[in-house]
Amino acid sequence: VIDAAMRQRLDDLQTDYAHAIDDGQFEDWPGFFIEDSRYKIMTRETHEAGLPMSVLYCNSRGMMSDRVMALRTANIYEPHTYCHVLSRARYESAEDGTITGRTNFSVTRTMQNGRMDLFAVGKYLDTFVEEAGELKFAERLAILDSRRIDVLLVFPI
Amino acid sequence: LFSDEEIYAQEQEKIFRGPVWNLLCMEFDVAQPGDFKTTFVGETPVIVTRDHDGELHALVNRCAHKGALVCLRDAYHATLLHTFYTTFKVNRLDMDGGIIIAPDKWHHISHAKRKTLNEDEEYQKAEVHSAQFDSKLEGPQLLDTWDEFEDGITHSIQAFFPNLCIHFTLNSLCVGRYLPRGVDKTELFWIYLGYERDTEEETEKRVMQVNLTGSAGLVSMEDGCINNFVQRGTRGSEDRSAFVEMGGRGRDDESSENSRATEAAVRGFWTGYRRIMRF
Repeated sequence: VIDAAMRQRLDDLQTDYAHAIDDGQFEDWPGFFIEDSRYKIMTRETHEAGLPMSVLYCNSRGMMSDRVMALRTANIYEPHTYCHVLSRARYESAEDGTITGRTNFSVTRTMQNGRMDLFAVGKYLDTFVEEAGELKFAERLAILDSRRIDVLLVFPI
Repeated sequence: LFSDEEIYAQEQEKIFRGPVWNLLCMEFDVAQPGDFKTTFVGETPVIVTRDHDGELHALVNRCAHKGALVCLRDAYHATLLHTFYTTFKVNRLDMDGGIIIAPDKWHHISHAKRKTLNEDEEYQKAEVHSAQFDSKLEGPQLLDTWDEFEDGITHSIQAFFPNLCIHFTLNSLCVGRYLPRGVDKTELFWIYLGYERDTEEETEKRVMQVNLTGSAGLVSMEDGCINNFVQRGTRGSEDRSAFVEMGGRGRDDESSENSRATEAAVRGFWTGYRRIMRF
């Protein structure tokens, strides 16, 4: 059973995650996960077909750090920011102590010249675990409703 | 007058590229030597800079090679060097490889063998863009591969005129299709494949390697935005030419070459295009 205090902690984790990305604090992003975790961005089309292919896939915190290093020093893209808006989440607890959740998101992307686009909408399917008294993601799947991505996806969703 | 595209084009030509003054930016936008500001004259992208003597300069924001925007925030130009490929030694020009061009020039295949890396001095020096990346991965499983084919080829890109591309990188197998969506838009479709006989581990590796290509690819995300920069950089300069003479100039004398530092394949594409379009 997810009590009110636990719900609050889960919501806070999700809020902090979104704010870190929206504020460009990408170095903080891997820390929301446990070391042995999975982060995947998939399209709804692929996910519903039961296929494994992703748009982006990390299976360790180290891979996430590599992504951050790449976007800071190697990749070429037009400067932009995200603004995540999250829905109220539905959480379920499993018998083994893990908690799963679903939260819908929408991400508006703003370019340096002022152009704004609805960049991504979809749902997070999450698995949470406690690690040293802190809640973290063991798995975060970001399922994109659209199969089309405008130009490129460089920041995590 | 308010809806006719031809008149609009004439306005760009006769007014904005004509004998009128245009505000480029405020002086405080480029207060210090080395400052720059990106702006527009009509639709033509322009950069304003202040040099180290304090003088102001303005130039069209377009590279002389293919017409990409030179400047967004930092100056860069990287249509050739895929930073991730070169840094992590996935596909570099100092590996054995080559380019095979079809007899009619319209199609080509470019290939490389990863195990034949013979490091060029140029890559060692911090002079190419790739060298800015510390070449250690915290998640090295990204490049955990197996030898897919016996010929040692680990990277091949096969392009079929006009808009089909079959690529193979490490163990990532993909059919790319490029659909025109209007004069200034193209949609890329990435269709990734595996074999039914693949083991779970092999499937995992193929999925892992999607991190290299596609719209979030550490290598190929640049392809989309570079072409976007060219499209935007050439606005207002439609009467100018691009420069596609790396590795030769020929139109009909093109042949297969061992160096992949060539635009022979691009010239081959335009050979097919001209033949069909009768240009």
